Amino acid sequence: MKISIANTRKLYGIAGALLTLAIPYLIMLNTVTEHLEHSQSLCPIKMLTGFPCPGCGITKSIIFLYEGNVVKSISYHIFGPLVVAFCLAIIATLTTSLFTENFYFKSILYNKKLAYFLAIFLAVYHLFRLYYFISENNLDSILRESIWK
Amino acid sequence: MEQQPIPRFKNDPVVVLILGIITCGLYLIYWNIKTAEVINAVSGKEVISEPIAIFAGCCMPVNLYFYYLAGKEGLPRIYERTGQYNKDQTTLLVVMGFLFPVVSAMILQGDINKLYED
Repeated sequence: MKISIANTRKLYGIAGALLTLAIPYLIMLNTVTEHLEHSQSLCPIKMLTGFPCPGCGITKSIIFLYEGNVVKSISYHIFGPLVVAFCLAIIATLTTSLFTENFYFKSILYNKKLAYFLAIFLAVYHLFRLYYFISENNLDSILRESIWK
Repeated sequence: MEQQPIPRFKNDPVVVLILGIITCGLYLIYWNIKTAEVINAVSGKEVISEPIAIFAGCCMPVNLYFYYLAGKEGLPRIYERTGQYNKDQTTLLVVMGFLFPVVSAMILQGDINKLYED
């Protein structure tokens, strides 16, 4: 059976959303939470510069959300719960679309205004995070977050 | 979807690298949105949705999906328009997107720049 390009695209979309949800779950099952809070980040930007990228902390945020600690989840990254909701919506929409050929919520998923709102919100949030990160860490501890020290 | 004008988004790939690092990845989110706009305009349909472009800047699997879409559906349309040999860059973009996302962005930017060459 040959799968069409459109359906392949949907399947990869579902796989990406599932991976986003599954990776934190697998980490949660195999890691002690205390270790997680102090472990080296695998983010290329953090490894290179020591500073967090806009996505840094989302995996930890999702892990704490899975553990039921919503406050800690939001403290790691405000987008954590939003990413979980977005991935669940993507899985539901694309799976339905695979079987019915109808693409639901297209006006939301392809909404340019929503995208720019999210981008500006994320940018402002990231700038605040960077400000607090710099004010709470000295050069030595920032370098320790990278691979250089 | 009717043919729309291609938004101008010409940057030196090295500038993408430098801005990506200096802004701690923030520029790459803006870059994702602009690239999605260019690819959608060149393709004449919504290949990459803008909200996905935002989340691609936050989550690795979504980022890989972004580069998959760009490589599989976006680049062939760009090559077609610029008259280049149509080679499949999807694997390269996804692998580099996993290891060094900014390098994938540089590769894509290099191809997008060819749209604006006279």
